[in-house]
Amino acid sequence: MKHKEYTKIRDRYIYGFFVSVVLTGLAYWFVVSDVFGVGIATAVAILLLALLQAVVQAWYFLHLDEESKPRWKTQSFVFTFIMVLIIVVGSLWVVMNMNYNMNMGPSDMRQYMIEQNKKGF
Amino acid sequence: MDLSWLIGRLGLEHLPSEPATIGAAIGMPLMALAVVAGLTYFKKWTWLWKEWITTVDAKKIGIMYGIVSVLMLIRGIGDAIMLRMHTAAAGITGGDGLFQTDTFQQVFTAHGIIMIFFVAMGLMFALINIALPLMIGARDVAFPWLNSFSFWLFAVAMILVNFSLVLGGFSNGGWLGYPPLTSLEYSPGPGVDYWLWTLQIAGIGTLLSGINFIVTIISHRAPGMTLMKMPVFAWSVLITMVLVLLAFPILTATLSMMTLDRLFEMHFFTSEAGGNPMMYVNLIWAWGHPEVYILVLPAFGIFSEIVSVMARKALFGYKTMVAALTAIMFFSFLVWQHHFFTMGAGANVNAFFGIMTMIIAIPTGVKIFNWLFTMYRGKIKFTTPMIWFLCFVATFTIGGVTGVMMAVPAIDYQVHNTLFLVAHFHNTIIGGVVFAFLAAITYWFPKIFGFRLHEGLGKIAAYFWQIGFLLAFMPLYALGLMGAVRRLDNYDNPEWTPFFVVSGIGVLAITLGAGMLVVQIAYSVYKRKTLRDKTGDPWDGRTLEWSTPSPAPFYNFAVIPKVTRRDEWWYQKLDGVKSLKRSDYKDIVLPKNSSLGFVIAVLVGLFGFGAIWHVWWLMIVSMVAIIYFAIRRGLDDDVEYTIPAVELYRLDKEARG
Repeated sequence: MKHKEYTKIRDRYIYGFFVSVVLTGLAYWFVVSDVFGVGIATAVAILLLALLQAVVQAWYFLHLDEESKPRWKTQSFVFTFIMVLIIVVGSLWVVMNMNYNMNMGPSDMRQYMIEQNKKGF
Repeated sequence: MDLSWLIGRLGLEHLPSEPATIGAAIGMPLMALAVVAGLTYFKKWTWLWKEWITTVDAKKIGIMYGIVSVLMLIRGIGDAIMLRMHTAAAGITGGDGLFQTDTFQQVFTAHGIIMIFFVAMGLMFALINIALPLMIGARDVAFPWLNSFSFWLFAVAMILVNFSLVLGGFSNGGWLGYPPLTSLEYSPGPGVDYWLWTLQIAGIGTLLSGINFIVTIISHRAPGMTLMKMPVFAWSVLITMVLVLLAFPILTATLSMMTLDRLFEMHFFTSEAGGNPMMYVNLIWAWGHPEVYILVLPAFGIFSEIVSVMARKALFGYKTMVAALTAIMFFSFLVWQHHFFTMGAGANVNAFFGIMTMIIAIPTGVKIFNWLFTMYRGKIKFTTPMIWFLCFVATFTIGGVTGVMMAVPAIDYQVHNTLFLVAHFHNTIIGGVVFAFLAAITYWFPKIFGFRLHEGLGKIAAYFWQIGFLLAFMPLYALGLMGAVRRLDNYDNPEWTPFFVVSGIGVLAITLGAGMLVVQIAYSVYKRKTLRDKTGDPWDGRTLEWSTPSPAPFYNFAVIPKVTRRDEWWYQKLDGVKSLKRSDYKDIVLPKNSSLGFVIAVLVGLFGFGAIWHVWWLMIVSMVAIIYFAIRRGLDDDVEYTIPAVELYRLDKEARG
């Protein structure tokens, strides 16, 4: 490998490392310093940073931008992202909707689950 | 003296106490002892180590998967016999049946786990290992060592599940072990931990195999074989492995959370401290539903190959077949909630997942029609694999239709958790998956062992399976509609007794069918000289694996074939096969055998054993050793050897007689 090429690749990793450290540090700082207070705002901010982190890593470490056709990595990355989204959003939807027909508190729910288990699922 | 630092919670009180389990606990070690004695007597240890345990050859690994799976099939059928004899006896005598309730529960849990993980998944990997590299014109899989490691993880998990018979007993929480029954509070014993670690280890092995086969298909195809020129079996494996890659991490994560719940008293799936048992059910089915497609898609691929070879026609609707497989890949992740319609979700959620479930039946239906049209006006050869196929079409379609029935939430409220459901999924898994894999064993047997299986005995076995299946499961549909819940060990409704008795007779008929398979293999080995396959192409096949001599040599292809069209081998035969010239042979590079796959897997097993019995030092020691050996394998550069062209030429001439 030519020296110039080598430096370029090495520098990419260093940039990537630097950016992910900054993002991680930022998340830590949000929590410690209470800039957004305790509550949903901090959670959202951390989630956004996590998403950014994922993009940074895909870009700098997995080299998704440099891939030549037929772009297997990009395709599988996008596909995986859609699937994870389906599972996460779907799970939230399903579980949050679970009490629709049950409408019971935790202790009643517990009793109900025990009885169901006795019957066998 | 307190020895708990040394042996954790191991103790004599965990030895079995009931006649049935005591029998198993004595019988199994005796069997193991007999094997050890036999190997020592015939001085086969070196042979076993060099030829099998350390092998990285996909075909040999496939054979080992097959052997383990067939042994486990026998155990699984044994469990099934126990279950149905128990319910039949409970009805006839009006008593409690043959076993204690706890034993009955352990048996149905073990039956489910063994049949899914160690029979269906095992046979699937056996067939993929055997057929896939040959089919796409590859010398081996992409990562041969990883393949051996995956197999040994599978084997270690199998030993763990069977060892529970000897010490500690198995989980009694059903095959998916819903909490809170399986939580620390209600099942403190080691049974659930056996279940957890068995699934965890086998699951990781499966995940690694998934990566392996995806890379193999993407990067190891013969020159000229574009994706759309691949055999449908290769397509089905590709789609299946994508599903494995996406679904199995969910299983790993869910089981890990449950392990934390049980080992460190955390609260992911308890009702306290913000935990939610419903989330467990949700997550396990987000894995569980793709899992059933993971089982059945390779079965579809197998039948696509068999029906086109036996009908002597190209497969009807290749592109729609691929499209159907891809559609299933996507939709199989959108239906999981149909497993718990009745758990309390509202109409919107149930309607969405119900409709998705009905939609996923469409690509499956497309396949059925493709196979029927492939047979249409073909010159069908009624060989054993074809008989399995015909049994499959009828049986699987019934199973599919009852599945669509249950996709309607209103109907599901009636039949949820009843034997109707049990009948439905056995209908698809026996009639779909098992029939396909048994057909495939007959189909690819000559390619691996060099002689065919006896046709007549194979057909008798198929008929026994088919009739036994109908007898065993049609009554369960009726019982389910009458309200008999699944996992029922006792009932006081005399009207149900005849149905349970017929079902019991059906299980015995299936057992006869399985027995016939064993007889078939034994008789074929005995008659192997007359059944020898000299041509390498006993079925007049269409795909590349039939272009190699039988048994397929360890390097698969002396010269990698060039592909220009679908069903390459078929058209080559029509054009006249060109024989290879001396100059066509080139040096080839093959992977060296390695013992580390076996060693690391055994250490993983010890780690699991330590976790089950809370032997902390064993967990730490084995984890350190696992990391050490993994690094050692990573630093080992001497992993390949070369066969020179001259040697290869000689070997190939020898193999072709």
